[in-house]
Amino acid sequence: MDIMRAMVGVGRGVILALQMLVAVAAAALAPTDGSAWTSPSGRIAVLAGTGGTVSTLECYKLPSPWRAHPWWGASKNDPFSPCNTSPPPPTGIHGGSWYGRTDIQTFGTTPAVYAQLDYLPDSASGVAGGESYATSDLTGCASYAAGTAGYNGIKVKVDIAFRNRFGTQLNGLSVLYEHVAAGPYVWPSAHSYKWNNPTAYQRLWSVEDFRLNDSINGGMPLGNVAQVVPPYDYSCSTGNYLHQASAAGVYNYARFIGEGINARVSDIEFVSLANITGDAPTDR
Amino acid sequence: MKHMLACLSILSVMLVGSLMTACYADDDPRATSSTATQLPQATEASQTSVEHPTPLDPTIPPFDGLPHRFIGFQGAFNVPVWDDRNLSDEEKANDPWYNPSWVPFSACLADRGLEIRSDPSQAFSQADLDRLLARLNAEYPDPEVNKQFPYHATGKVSGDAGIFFDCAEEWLTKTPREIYEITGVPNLWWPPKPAATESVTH
Repeated sequence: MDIMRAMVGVGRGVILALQMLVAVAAAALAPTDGSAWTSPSGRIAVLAGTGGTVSTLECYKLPSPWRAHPWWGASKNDPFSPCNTSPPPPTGIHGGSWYGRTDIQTFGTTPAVYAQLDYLPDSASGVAGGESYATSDLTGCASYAAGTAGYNGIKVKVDIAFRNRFGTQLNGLSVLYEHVAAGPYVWPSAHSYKWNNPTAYQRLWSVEDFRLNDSINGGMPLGNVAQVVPPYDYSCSTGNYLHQASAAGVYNYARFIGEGINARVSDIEFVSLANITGDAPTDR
Repeated sequence: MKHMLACLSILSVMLVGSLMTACYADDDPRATSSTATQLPQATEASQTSVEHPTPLDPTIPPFDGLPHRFIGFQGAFNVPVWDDRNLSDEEKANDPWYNPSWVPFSACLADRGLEIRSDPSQAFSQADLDRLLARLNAEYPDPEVNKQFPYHATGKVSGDAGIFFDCAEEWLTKTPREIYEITGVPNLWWPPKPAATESVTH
């Protein structure tokens, strides 16, 4: 029994050493984007709202005379990405309070657009579900009528509340999708919808309107990428594409101009939210 | 011996990092306890109707308590910038865009005693709106308080915030088409220009 107790002591020492190694590794993987992680990862992701090809990351430039969002081909060495993001919010032509701004070209097609998240914590203290609503952010570029000169869809702002299984609100997030031909879930004023995290320890609602955190099996449908026809207002849009951004976080630095991405699968933005310890990849 | 071998096997597994369980002697009561986190027992509250479970903390707002559309989860007064064209500030200054809603919106504010323009005879502009939002954010600096304003705030809030909410909910939520249909004054966006005409210039 003395030998056993000695081995117990050794075992505990090994456990402690391994735990220290994990802690050191986690610190070495700390984010460079200024976000604060509450765990070795701590992030959740906003997934691509539609499928297509990445055409802009974070910033825009104005190559005279077209004013078009640039297409730089399949290269990671895009000179306009990332923008100056320090101090936040990002500065530049499209500076403002939105982060992780990404354009996804759809080349004349009008695929469906979904708001979808990933890496929501599924534990007993994690995200069980919540509410969300989608409104149209009224701006000049988004006010042209469909089928008229200058039309390039509307800006859909999705506000998402995260709650645990007891109904306690953990946090919230706003996500923006621009150049959208809105579907029935987008209202001129707030209409709150119920969503569940289907992989949670306990779902929040007995009856849900849709699900988040389940990739291509769910998401909040917002409509379709807007069909843009000439004559364009080049200061607003030049074709069919989806612009998305979030109220916090950064775009996934692994994305590059010209990359093909999949709707409700590809990680577009990573966001750190207090009280929500997601497990998004550390560098992908 | 059998116990020692069992413990050694556990240790070897731990050393390769594939198992993180403690090694206890058989007579140690902790040897039979699970290393998994003990889950809390479901409370009565969580066993009520899942459709609208009662929050355990009565200070938590009900499920309809989402932030006002002009507040948001970041807790600050915010209205989207109207002129969101991909142009330089100089180009925008040479060809300014005005939200058709700003005319009735500014009139509503002035009628309620919240005139933000230094010269009321001048058209309400983005600069005026920015100044108004800055004033409100200075007057209401606590984001957690601001997130508690009701989503439909008309007639429910006092002070400058209440004036803003009443006028913003009435006018800043209206599209250029709606403003034209109310006022009869054409604007850049309505009545619309057909798509198959000359290019739009500004």
